Amino acid sequence: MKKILIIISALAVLVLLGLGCKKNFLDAKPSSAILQPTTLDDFQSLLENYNGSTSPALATLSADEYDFISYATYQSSFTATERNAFIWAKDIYAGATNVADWNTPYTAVFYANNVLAGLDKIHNSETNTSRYNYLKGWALFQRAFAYYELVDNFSPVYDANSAATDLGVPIKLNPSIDDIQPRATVQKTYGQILSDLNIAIPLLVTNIPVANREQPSKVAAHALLARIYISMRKYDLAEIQADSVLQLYNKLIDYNTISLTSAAPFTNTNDELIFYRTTVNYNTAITFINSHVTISPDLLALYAPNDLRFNIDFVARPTGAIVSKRQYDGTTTLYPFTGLATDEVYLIKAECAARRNDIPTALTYLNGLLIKRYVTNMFIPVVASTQADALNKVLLERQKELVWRNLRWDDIKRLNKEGANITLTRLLNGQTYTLPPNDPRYVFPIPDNEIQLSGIPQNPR
Amino acid sequence: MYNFYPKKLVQPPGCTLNILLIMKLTTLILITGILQVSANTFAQKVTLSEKNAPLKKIFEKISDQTGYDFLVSTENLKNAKAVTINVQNEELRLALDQIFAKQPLSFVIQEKMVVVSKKEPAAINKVKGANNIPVTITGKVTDTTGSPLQGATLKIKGSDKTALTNSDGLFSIVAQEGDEIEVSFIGYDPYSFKVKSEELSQRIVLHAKSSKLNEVSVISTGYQTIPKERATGSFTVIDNKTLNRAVSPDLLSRLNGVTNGLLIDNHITNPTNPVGISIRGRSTLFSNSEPLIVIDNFPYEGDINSINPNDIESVTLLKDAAAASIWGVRAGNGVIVITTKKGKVNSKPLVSFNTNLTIGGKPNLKYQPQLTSSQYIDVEKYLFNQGAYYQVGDDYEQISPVVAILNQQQLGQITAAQANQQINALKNKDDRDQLSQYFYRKSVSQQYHFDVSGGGQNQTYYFSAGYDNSLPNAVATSSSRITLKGNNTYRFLNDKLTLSTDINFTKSQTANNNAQGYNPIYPYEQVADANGNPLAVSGLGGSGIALRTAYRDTAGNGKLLNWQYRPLDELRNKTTTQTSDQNDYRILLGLNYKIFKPLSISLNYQYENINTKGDLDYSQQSFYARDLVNSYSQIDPTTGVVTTPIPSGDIYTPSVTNYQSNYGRGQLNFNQIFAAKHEINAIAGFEVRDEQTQSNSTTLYGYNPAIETSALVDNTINFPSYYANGAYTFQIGNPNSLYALTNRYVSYYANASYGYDQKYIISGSYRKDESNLFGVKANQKGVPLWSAGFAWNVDKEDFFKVDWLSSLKLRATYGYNGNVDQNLSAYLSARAAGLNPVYPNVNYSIITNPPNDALQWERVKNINFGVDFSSKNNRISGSLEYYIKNGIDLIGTSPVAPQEGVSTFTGNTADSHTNGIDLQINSVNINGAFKWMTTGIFNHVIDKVTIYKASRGTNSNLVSGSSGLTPLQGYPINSIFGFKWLGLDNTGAPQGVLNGVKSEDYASILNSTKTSDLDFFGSSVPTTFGSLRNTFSYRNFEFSFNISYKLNYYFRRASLNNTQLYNGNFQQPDYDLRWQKPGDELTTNVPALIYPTNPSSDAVYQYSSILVDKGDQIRLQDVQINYIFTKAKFKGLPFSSLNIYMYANNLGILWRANKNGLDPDVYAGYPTPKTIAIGLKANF
Repeated sequence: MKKILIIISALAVLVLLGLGCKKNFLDAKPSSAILQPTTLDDFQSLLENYNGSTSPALATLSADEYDFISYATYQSSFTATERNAFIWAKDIYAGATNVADWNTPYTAVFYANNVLAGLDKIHNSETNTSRYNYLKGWALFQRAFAYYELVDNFSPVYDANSAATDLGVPIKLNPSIDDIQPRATVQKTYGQILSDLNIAIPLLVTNIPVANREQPSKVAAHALLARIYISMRKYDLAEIQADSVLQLYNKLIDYNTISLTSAAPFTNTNDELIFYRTTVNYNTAITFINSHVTISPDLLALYAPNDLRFNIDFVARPTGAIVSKRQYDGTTTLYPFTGLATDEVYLIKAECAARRNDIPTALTYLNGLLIKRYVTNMFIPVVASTQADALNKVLLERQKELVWRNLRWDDIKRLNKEGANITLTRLLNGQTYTLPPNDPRYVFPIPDNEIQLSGIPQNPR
Repeated sequence: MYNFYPKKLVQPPGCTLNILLIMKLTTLILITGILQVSANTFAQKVTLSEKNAPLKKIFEKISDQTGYDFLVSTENLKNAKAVTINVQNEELRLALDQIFAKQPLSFVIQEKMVVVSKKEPAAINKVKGANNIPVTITGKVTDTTGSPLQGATLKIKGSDKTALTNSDGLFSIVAQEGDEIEVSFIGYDPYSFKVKSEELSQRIVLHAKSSKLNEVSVISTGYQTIPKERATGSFTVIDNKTLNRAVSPDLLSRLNGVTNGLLIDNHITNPTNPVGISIRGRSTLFSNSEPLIVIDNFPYEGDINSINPNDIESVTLLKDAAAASIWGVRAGNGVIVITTKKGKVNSKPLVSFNTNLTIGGKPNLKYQPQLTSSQYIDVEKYLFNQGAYYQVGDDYEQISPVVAILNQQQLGQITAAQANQQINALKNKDDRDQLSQYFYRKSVSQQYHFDVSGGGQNQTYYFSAGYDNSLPNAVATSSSRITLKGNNTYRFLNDKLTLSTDINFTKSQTANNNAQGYNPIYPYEQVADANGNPLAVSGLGGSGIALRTAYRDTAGNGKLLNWQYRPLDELRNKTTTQTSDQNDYRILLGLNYKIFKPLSISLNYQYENINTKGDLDYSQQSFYARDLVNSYSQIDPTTGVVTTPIPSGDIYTPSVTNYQSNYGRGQLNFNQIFAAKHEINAIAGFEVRDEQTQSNSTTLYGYNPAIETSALVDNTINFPSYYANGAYTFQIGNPNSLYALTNRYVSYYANASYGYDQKYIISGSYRKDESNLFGVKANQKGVPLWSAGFAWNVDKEDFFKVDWLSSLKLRATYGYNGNVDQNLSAYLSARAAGLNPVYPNVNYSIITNPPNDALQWERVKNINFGVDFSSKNNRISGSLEYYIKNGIDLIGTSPVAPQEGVSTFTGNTADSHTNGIDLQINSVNINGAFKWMTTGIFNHVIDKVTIYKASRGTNSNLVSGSSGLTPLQGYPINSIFGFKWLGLDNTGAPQGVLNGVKSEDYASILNSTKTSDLDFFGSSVPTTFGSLRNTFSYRNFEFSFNISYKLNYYFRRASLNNTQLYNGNFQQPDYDLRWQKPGDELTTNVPALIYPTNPSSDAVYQYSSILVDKGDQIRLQDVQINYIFTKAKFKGLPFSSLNIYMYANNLGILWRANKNGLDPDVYAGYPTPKTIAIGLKANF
């Protein structure tokens, strides 16, 4: 009997020791570096990921703003993608997979979807309503911006007549990674983008967070809508959005206060910056620092003698190349600035006004911008007698002001839709390459591994 | 046939049976007390009061009281008479006299053992003939160390006459001339001699039985020790002698090539398994693939290289479910149990000292082919003429000396003749000559080890101290290790309570006085001029940008720091030092209490603390620091004042990592024999483990080592570069890094076996592990794993009467092991990544793991069949095993459509099937004064991915495979595929296959998903491997060599890569073989060089079938020579024995399948140089 008691008590001691404080013991977090995002701070840190603020670069690589200084430098350019995009080749990626131009916006969408799903799970209490709303608005803004850049690059330019049948991009609205989406129509894709932004606007803060311009605001959302509507050629809507921006924020920088020699004339908290964004990384062709591509001479010839932008935007390299300096993104990256800024909004406002034949308004905004770009007292205000003249002058200034901002390619696409009949040509090693208006090659191919792994249809080129 | 049968089977974990007997007599039983108590032969007292008790019971009682073991054959026990005895505190010998008086048996007391044998009839001198005169032969019997053997039997063949040696090993026997006398002793090879009248004094040395080198009778699982006979599972035991055959500071290289079922190979190296070690193939895809390492009772989480192999008694591999499932979720890759040395009861202090010196050759830097300087200059000239070097357009970017000369010539600064002269001077240089001369040396390592062990009646001890020092091939590096170990076992309360303590300390230090390192970037790069003076070269410093040497000469007009990089100065002045200092403490406590007869309880606890301190110091003089300071200095154009954001001083990064673990275990042990035939052994317990790792590192700028001060830096500003007019910017990174890891487990386990009449044994085990695995749903936190096994000792059956086979055992097991992937989670998880690089006032994080609700732990189903056998006299012995392992719910990674926002998906996506054979055969080919023994090991393992639910990816994914793994349903886990190859076309361009037809559409070939466009070769990991070891010995001399082989696998060899070459990588083979003119396609497969390059075309060639070679190879792994001087032979020796040995390793390839002279074991760099070691070991 005594022996049995001993056995039982020995077992009891063992089991008790074993069960003791197991509950809390196994709840310890295995790594301090691991974060299971549950709080608003956590979600903000996901939105701060810089994947949320990069744009595809194919448009800059394909547009007519630059040229290689020689065939040799063209050949020495590191990636086949850069060479192929320059000559609008049918196949751009030459077998490369995981193309950042396609992947990065989807990564931004994935982050936004995770934040939205996570926010759904937490209680929106009284005390954190404004921050909760802001983060939700931020995620929607981020998703909308990413989808806009995807549809802008990988689908035909918006055309109200064919948008219901043109192929847009796959739309993913939840964070799960095992559901493959087909390509939505262009109409549906734009519908999603506009819906996200319209939900976001009331949730976002009104003013630009001055020290953190990677964070969106109502100003940024309106500016993005203005950019989107103008690309859709919905000029009336674009103008409304531009007005919304300028009512809230209309600061311009007087370029007379900016160094003409500095390699990085602006900081990333400068007054014109509404929302920070740059392109994804490419090795050589579009880094501002390279010395083997040059801003095309035709474009450079457009700048008047007292235009401060020539020296603030460009610098000459020892090779004779003239390249873009760092822009409104400040000092941190080597890649073109693609974010939102007040100068673009002024030009949208001016263009829309010109298109509805309000020449005085168009010129007011155009000259309001340009006076800040010329040497003090040397600016001669632009005048225009006809609507066409006003529009052309606005578009010319748009080309000069928004140089190297990843916008030129979009402008060519939509202006050709308007009948501008712009044909791009490149002369390379004695061979002439031509891209006629509305060519299918204005739509970039979807990377091969996406096609293979999801089975969605490729763009015809 | 032998049998090893301890009466009491409870072994406190970690306490091996103190007698390992290897016997070859009749069926013997060893009756032993659970705890050894006695010591004194003269004062040993017993108290007995029995009536008609079986003799066996009497032996048990005496054994319990005295600690003496009884060795008796079953046959003799059967014939014994019942005993009636009543003695109080009687001296052992007298009590035994009384007991044996009426028995047909006699006894002899050896040191701590009573050997029982049949009573011999009174000696009768047979009359063999009138001429035969009896003679008295006297002599001494010793072992090879000269220690006398007490109780050795001398038997005159053909008669019953015997004699035994006394405590001094002396004997005296009367025989007749011409008689043959056989001398035998348990555990030793018998020896015979003919009686000659002129040789009446004999000195006889018996050799320990060596025919069963690898057979140890007890195996340790880390939870219990099991007599080998009772085991149902699959074990490989490496005994002390085999471990000490090789000379090395680490354990793994001593296991390599001698361990059945173990493969150590570069091709299985991955981040979780840095040494590339596997037991019975790979059981997982992307989770941890390293076997669990256990020392004595507990898992060892430190660096396996910090274990001193001289402290190790034996190593046991647990290979199947029955053997390993007791380790639960950590046993999926097998378990390596290390048993350390302990003291022995009642043993005088044994002192031994071991030292050796290993010298290794200089590495052959020219093993990897590269373009000659002349060839590379041709390439540079070609590229220069194509305008490829756009860097010449500015003044600061790095260009090679040749490009600089060509540029000067183009600009008219020098003439063509001058340019040619300068270039020709470079053509006959080879960077590897100076690299070898200045940066490499012969390696030297030394080892010293001292230990003392022994024990008294109630206590045993083992203390050791070791020191290893190594000067590796790289000139600036060194490493050292100090190990200390103290092990004590105490017995209290009449032996009911055993307390053991074990304290281990290891201090490992490494230093690299040239942490900046040096890699030439041109084949003609020179670090010293003809007089040995250091020369400046280009190179990366702290700024991370390689600048032109000419720019560095003139930049700043003398206002900046010296900006040149002279690798030899860096080496000689020790400007950049990196040190690591690791202290590893491991303390074990064990308590075992015998509650009452069949039941005992043991409590074990281990505390481990590993503290690693690392220092990386770029001194103020280092190129790294000078380059960083200069790169971000600004010179005021008017005042000439230099300002710099990098404070003057060293750039110093100290880091500390502290690992602490607490491990506790409570276990009940039950061992009972019922009715003589039913034996039950069971353990049940639980354990708790808590591991914490804390790490921090910080970078200090402006550090002054003399007064330990540093300066503040501003890490929120982007500073403009000095070169390129400030076009580049630099942000002093957030220098602090902190992290903490916590691993916790709670486990429950039980293990039981039942044996019937020593013939049939069934076993079973169960274990459940729960952990704090992050985010796994609560009901999946724990996973139950179990096993069952059966063994049949066929030789114990009455019907087993096979003359030539002395032992035969059959066994079979079934069960599950598990594996954990700590990096995964069912929930969305992220990692804090620091400050947003663009707006460094906010933090950002990175999603590391997308949500995966269905995540589960991996399991491995194991089935094992084994047969163990030995022939008569153990001339041939061995084991053959067949196993099947099925991986279930293996974690797989596969590419997903980028629209998902991630590029890979990781989850339970795969099942695998593995089967294989482990065969080991030991044979004694010649047995006599001259001995020849052979050990052959043959392992064959075939694996296959049976289910792979995730996407296979493109053919490009498949051929290039991350970490060598390309899981594809129906193919081996480590498959090698190649793009089908149709040679070159008449322009020298590769021709591949797309959709079954010849194609030069390289992008489509890469992105095809048709497996039929690929050739499948086989596994990239050896599927057949093993070794053949021959040992020859003559008296005290031993010589052995080991031949290892790896067969049935493939590897991809490098060839000329156009893109890499034109990007400046000159370390490429096959440049000579490239296509150069039409017609060459008939004789070569190396594509033409084209400019600009086409990376897709290069990839199709790089991963084509034409570059896949068979890896099969046979190597002469090592040679060992060993001579023992014994005191018996060399009277003046101040030691009881002195062992002198020589060991040569990495001796080279005997045969290889590939025709290109490649060593398939070389993954990168150069083959491991040959090493030769000499050493001596003295026992006092």
